[in-house]
Amino acid sequence: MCVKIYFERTGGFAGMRTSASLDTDNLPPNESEQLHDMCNNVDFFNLPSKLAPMIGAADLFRYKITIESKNGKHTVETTDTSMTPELENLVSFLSDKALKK
Amino acid sequence: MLGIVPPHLLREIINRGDPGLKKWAINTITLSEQVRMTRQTFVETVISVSEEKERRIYDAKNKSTLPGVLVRVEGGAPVNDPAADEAYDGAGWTYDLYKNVYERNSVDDKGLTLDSTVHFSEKYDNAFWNGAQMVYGDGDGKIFNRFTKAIDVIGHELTHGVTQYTAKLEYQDQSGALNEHISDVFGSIVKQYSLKQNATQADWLIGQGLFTSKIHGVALRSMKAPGTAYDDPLIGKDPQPATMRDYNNTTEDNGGVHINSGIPNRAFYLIAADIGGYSWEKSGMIWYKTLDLLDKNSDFEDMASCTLEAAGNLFGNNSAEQESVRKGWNGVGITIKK
Repeated sequence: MCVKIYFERTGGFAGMRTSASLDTDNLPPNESEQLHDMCNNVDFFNLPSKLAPMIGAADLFRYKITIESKNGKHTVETTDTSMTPELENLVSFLSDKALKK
Repeated sequence: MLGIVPPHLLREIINRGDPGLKKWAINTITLSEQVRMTRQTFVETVISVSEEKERRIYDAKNKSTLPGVLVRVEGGAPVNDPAADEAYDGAGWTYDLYKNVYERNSVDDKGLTLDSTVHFSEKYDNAFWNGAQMVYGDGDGKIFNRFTKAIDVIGHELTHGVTQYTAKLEYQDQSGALNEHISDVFGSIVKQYSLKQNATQADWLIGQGLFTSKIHGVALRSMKAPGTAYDDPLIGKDPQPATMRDYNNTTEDNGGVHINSGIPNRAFYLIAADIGGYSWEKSGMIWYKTLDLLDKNSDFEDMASCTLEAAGNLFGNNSAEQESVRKGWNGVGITIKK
């Protein structure tokens, strides 16, 4: 199944932006499988669209992840301190992709 | 046992006790902190109160669980880890500036313990304030070094705490850029205070030394010349504007809070340079007193008016200092309407 992912990281102390666009059809099979697993583990399509940090927090990275598949399209915005370990895994995978671009 | 042994005693035990006692005290102090943090999410007023400087440094061991393992407490010897020791020293300078110059006892003015976590996550290119403590990454080693390397970064993060307890500037658009600006101002002042530099001697850079030698750039931001801190094929060019003419209407980064802060940053530099002397004295005092005059939705024009008011309260209406404030804001394209 083809899945399109758009990832964007903004903010942080330095205020620098990085992003990545992925299409699972164009990824090596092992990575494509890994990505599917991560999306399933995190139950991405049922996550709230905004995961907010604690009041007063500043300089956190802002992550925006959009996933498009045959099940529809969903966007989640989150920060360094508002993620479950499962979502953190997905964000860390996507951050790596964005930085190696 | 929990919460019965006062923290200062636990600290003494950690510093002087035998290894067994030491371990017990570290566990206890860490556990009480965790309990306190849990409570804090329900009751915001639960705080550890002290009349003196209280620092704790934790090591996240490259995980993202906070606060991590306690490695150094107030009065403890250096631990031979540059990140932990820089976080400790930088928090100390910041506490001292606020206490000695502005008579403020820690970020909440009630002696809140200054907690810092180093080695957060892996190759983490950032430092942040999570609403209760400071957190520092090691950097990826290609673009960024460790974030404790610049003392102004430490002053910057702690000042987010000060703003949280004073002006409470909302972290979005212009009020967010002011929140960032105030952290840059006092971050830079902490650096100048630690080096005993006046406004002319200061470099006015934010994050000098954070870039590796592979990157073409001197720092992350320049308060003196916003937009000139870096220009590199890999990371692009410093996007900060220096005047209202170049204000960036973006939705990224909470409405460009790290970008448009260049405008008030430059205004502060112009004012500090015009007033002259040590910037923590007159210009810093004007900015510190302004924190009480702002509200959570204040914009750049409100900030300019409030600094003019604070300068009037401190040095008199039509004083030379107040004129410097008016001129400084004019210099970035903001006219004070009163």
